[in-house]
Amino acid sequence: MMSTWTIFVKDLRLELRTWESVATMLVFAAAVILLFAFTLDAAPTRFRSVIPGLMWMTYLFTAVLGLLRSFGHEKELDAYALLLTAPVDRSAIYLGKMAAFFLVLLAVQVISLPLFWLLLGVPVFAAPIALAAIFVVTDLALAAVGTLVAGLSLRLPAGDTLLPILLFPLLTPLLIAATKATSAALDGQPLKEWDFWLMFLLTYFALFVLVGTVIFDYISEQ
Amino acid sequence: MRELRAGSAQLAPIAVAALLTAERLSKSFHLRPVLKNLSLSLETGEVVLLFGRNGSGKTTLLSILAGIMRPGAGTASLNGLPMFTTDSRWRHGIAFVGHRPGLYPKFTARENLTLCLRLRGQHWDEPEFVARMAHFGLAGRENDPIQVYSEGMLQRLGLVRLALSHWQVALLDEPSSSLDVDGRNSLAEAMLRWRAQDRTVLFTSHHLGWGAARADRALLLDGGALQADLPQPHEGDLAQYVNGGTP
Repeated sequence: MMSTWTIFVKDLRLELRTWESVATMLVFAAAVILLFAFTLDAAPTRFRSVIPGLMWMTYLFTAVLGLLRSFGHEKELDAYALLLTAPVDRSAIYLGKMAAFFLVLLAVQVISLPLFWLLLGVPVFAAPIALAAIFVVTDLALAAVGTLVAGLSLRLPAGDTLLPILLFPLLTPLLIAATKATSAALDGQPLKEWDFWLMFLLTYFALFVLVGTVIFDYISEQ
Repeated sequence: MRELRAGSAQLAPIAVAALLTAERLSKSFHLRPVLKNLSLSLETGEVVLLFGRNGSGKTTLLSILAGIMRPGAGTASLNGLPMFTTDSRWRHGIAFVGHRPGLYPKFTARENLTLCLRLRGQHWDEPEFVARMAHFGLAGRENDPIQVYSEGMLQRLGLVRLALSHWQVALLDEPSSSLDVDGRNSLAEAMLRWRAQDRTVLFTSHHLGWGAARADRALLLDGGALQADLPQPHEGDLAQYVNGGTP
């Protein structure tokens, strides 16, 4: 537990030192939202049904950028060797990095989500608790899957290329669930109408965090 | 029982026990075997030079013993504890400094070493840190981000990391490659100190003269297998072995 905390703090401190992940992710998210705002400007209400999908597509690519940056720190000067040779359970590396990435992703969304409201008129403040729950659970699952796949691709040749190839198929069910839940929440539907998708997201997170904890030791070595 | 030697000066024979044992290690990359059924044992308090041509598998062997790579086959144990298992306790006994320092460039030397020791479950000792930094010629650079360090300074910092860590076996991959004369002397002193503390060092070097003078034993690695185990190595002999002949 202590080593998980140490790695979590290390990753956050690195981010606060450089702001590389947050800045890259924010610029990308803002650019895409701006692009949507211009292209959907003619009839924003007509495209309202696709907005949740566009939103999560934006955050999928944003997350990939963040993952590349987060694990990029481990490649410089082969810093990952410091973690691998440390006498700590490898699951601590996974959990620490996952928790830090989750926080970074959530922070980027908290800052960029109002842009969807401002530029596209998405009522993100209409159901704040429901949306917060969806974003937290989806981000947890994104971080669980993303950290696992990024950890795997880190020790592989052409890992940066492999990351999206491995990650996107695994995240497709997650994004479908997140889109469905977000769409229902934005439409003001009661929780019982879309709790299945929330449970699906929670199950996805639980499944991958369990798998990641068990297999990270095997996938982190070459 | 092994007769230990420091450079050319013979020491009295002492009883030593096998500390690290590796058996039938194999590793392949893209179906090309790099290590083939390699077995070795390291004894308490000995300094061993691992030498061989580029691509002979030295770095792969050290990476496997450090737990960075997983062998395709084979087993190893450290002090009786099986290595390469999910039980991480065996890594308490191993320290590794590779070609690249294995540290975070955006962090300062102090932050990097604090992180390293915290992960090893050790307490921070500020006076010891300052003293070691000074010993390896890095006094006054404690709070610099290490991205501004030169290659030689990074290598020195790797040695500070070793000096501050608790370990039984140090695996050093080309520890002197970027060091100047002062740095090599500091490393040589540290090796003597570690040997006196009954700690074991396995290191690679292409500076055969420098390496031979520091080692009690030299292991020739060629074609993924150990080809010779030479006590009291001398530079000339080692060079002939590397060139494919026998002295």
